[in-house]
Amino acid sequence: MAGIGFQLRRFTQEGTLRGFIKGYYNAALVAAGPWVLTVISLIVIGYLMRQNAARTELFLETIIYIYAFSLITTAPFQLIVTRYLADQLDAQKLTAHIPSFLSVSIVSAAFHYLVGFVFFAQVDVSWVYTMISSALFAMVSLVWLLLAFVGAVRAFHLVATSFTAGTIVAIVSAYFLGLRVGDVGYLLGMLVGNSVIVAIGLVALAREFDSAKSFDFEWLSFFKKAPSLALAGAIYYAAIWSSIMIYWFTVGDPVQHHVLYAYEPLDLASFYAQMTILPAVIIFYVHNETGFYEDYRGFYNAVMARKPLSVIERQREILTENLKDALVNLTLIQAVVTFTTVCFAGQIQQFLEMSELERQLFVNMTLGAFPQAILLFVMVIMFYFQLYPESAVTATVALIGCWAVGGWTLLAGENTYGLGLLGGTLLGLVVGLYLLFNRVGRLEYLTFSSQPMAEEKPFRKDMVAATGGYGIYYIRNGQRQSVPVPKGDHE
Amino acid sequence: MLDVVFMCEGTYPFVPGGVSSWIHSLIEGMPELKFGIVYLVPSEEDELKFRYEMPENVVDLVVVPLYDIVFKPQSKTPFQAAAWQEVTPFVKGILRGESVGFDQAFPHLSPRGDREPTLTVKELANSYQAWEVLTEAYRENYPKASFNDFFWSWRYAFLPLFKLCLAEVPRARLYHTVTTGWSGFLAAVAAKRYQTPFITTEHGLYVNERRIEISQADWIFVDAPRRGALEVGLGTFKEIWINLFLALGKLCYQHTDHIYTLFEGNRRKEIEFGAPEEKIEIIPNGVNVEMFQSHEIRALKPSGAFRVGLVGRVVPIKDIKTFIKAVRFMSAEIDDLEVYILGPTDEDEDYFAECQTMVEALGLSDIVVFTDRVDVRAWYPILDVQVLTSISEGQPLVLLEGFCSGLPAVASDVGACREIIYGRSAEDKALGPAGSVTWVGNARQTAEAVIALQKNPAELKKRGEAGRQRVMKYYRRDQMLDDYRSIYHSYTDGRVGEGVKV
Repeated sequence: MAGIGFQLRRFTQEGTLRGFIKGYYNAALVAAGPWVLTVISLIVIGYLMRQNAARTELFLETIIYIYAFSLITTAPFQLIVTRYLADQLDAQKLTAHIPSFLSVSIVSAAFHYLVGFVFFAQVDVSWVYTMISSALFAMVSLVWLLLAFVGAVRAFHLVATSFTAGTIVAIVSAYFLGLRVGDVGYLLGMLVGNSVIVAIGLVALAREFDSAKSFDFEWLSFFKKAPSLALAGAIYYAAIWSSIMIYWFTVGDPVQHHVLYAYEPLDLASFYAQMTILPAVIIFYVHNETGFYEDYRGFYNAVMARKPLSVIERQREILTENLKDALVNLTLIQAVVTFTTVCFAGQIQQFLEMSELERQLFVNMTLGAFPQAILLFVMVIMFYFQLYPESAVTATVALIGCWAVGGWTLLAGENTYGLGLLGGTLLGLVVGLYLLFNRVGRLEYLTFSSQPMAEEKPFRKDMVAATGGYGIYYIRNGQRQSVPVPKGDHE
Repeated sequence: MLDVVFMCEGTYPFVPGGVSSWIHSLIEGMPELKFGIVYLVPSEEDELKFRYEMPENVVDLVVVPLYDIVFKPQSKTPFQAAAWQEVTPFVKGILRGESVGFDQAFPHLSPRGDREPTLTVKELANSYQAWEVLTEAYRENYPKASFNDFFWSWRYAFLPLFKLCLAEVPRARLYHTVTTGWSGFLAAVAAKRYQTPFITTEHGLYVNERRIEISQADWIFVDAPRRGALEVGLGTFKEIWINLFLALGKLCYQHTDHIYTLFEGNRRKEIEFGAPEEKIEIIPNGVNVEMFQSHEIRALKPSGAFRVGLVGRVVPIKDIKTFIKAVRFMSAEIDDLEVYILGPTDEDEDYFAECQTMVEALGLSDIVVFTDRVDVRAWYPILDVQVLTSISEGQPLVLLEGFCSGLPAVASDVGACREIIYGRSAEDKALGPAGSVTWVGNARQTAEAVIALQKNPAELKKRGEAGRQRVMKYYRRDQMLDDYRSIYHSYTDGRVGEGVKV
């Protein structure tokens, strides 16, 4: 995402109020558009529903399920395709974006629609509801995927507009359709809103990039090359959402018959709490990720520009220092936001009409969002350095921590619910920071030793003789041997 | 068990040439011995075609690809700090062009008996310990050089070396390498692995040849010359490559039981490159005298013209242009001069074209003839003088072949030319000169030597006869075969050919 980040950073550095607002407003939308859209939509639609005394529970839980599960299941596709596009951009190949987006969209949409359909078919709802919720599941996944592609788009305003337009269309159409056909209408409104985002996003991509072919499935090979990257993404989101899901199936109630369980006091509160990471995410996106990217390029440029090791090591030291500073700054920013949110929890409770328990759980989840945000940044930095196994380990520690602390909260009482996120992500953060700085401390070694050699060949048994030594017998015990050589005419 | 295993690189049996023919004649000449060959090839994808009919006593032939990087699954032993401590001086030494610590490093690099090496090639290539050794060596030797190029030079230099430690080598009573370099290193590894002796024969000097090749290579990055560097203009990375081959040469010289070379000049160079003087012995290459004597009917030589011949490929190393210039001087003094350049013209077509242009420009078209490939046996008897203007030679067999027919030679002072023409030992020198030796690149001196012989037919005949006697006495192939036969037998201890079913 550093591509757009550089453009937005320029606005924020203009020194004018207009530039400042333009930069951060667009950053908020591009970095966290789907979140902003969803939370604002849910707040507004929830309010409108209450005005009309409509049933909201099924709709809200459906949305929460769709967002929670789509993040977990889309993350592998998103990270893998991002990795593929980064390689393409490095090689100055700009024609892969559209064919890759089309191909990943087809694979993802088919996968998510099928999974959604199987899931919602178990819920006691109409078949129309099942179809629309499955379609929304697939569409929301496409929105997450779109985020991986718009990073290199210069027309950031079009991307930002897509999220604004999508939000407005979602709210307006949900309101009118909801009034007429109830839950199905609200869902359909969200589907239309998300479709607008995807459609405008696709236009932005089409305007930016040429494409030589319709589809490109090359990115699929990265599942094999970097399986731990795919795992890391899925496990990270699984950790965050499992700290909520743990209550669905223990102290929660079925919203409808069968599978669709919910623990309402936490579900919506956690959605709101996620908004508290928005300022840090925007700052990271506009300033830290771009700054880090410059240091990162500086390091690799020193390598490529035939500099002595001392210069390369100095670049690594600069990178490490700046990275530490950035993480400290982000931690401070997030601390201020979290502290303020907790202090103003009463006012937020009143505004969002929360119960006393919901307020407490909102605070718990807000506290959890603090290390979660920093963990997210640590993992993004890990991805830059291709520390995929390390990021998978970090996410797994967070997941186990979320389960363990979450399990404890079930025993400790409902006021502690949601603290699993705090415990788990804190644990993951400690491990992640250790692994990140341990590896960055040996960055030269990792960079060089991971370089493949052009002459490297996979080992085959016929490369060695019976005794295990390298070599092929052309004559053995006086007998000419048939030689399995890939090329060449041997007499 | 085999008697003798040759270590070959770019020679027998897939590339024709002087060394290959020599190996072939040794194998053919000793049918009582069982031979093996380990042939190093750059990549398994290189096309290999047999250029020789394989004698029946070649029992094993193994081809080992050198530069293909393959990480064979190896059983990993627990981390041993001592192993790294013992390997480090060896690899650091190679970087400096020194051969140190091979004995200590050996058990960690190569299998011996049932024991696997302590370190795997993957560890040696990619582990953090390897990185520490590499960066230490960098800081000690080239702290200002491009690290990226240093890293890749290191990888490309050492990975083949580590891989060679795991190469397949048939067991033998004696290993015989015909160069230093990679083959020499493999011979040292095999000898140590199986606790057997190994000998080295050098025709050309591998270290010298690689040095020239690397100096001219354009695939190696050249940085600013290092302060105190021995060879200005080569840059750090050419220096690293040269040091690698220098170190491999020294390692081979140190560990080999005996070094055999063709002539005195080589011997002196080998000592310069680190060979212990006491190990070196000169065994000149020999010619099949009978083969060339059968054409020794100089009486049938047509009278009239004075015929000068240069037997060799039309390539820059033979310095044909100096020869053409010399012909210009000769033509001014010798009436009825005929000049023949007897050798392939298609190896460097540009150079051949330049030579042709020169012949025309100097007005020598009626005198100089490029014959292309010919059976030289038919030509030696009709020539009066053979000329060789090469800028580099080993032990040129063409001079000896000419001597079989009583043909005197005028040759530049390179390789073994001086001792072939004037004699090596006192007894040899007493036979008299078989021609003249001239300075490299000196056309006038070459011409004057030829003119002097033409003006003095008695001396011409005398020198031809001296050559004939010299070749009969010191440069017979059967003599050379006898020498090597006795060497092989001394190492195989009379147990030749035992236990081998062919």
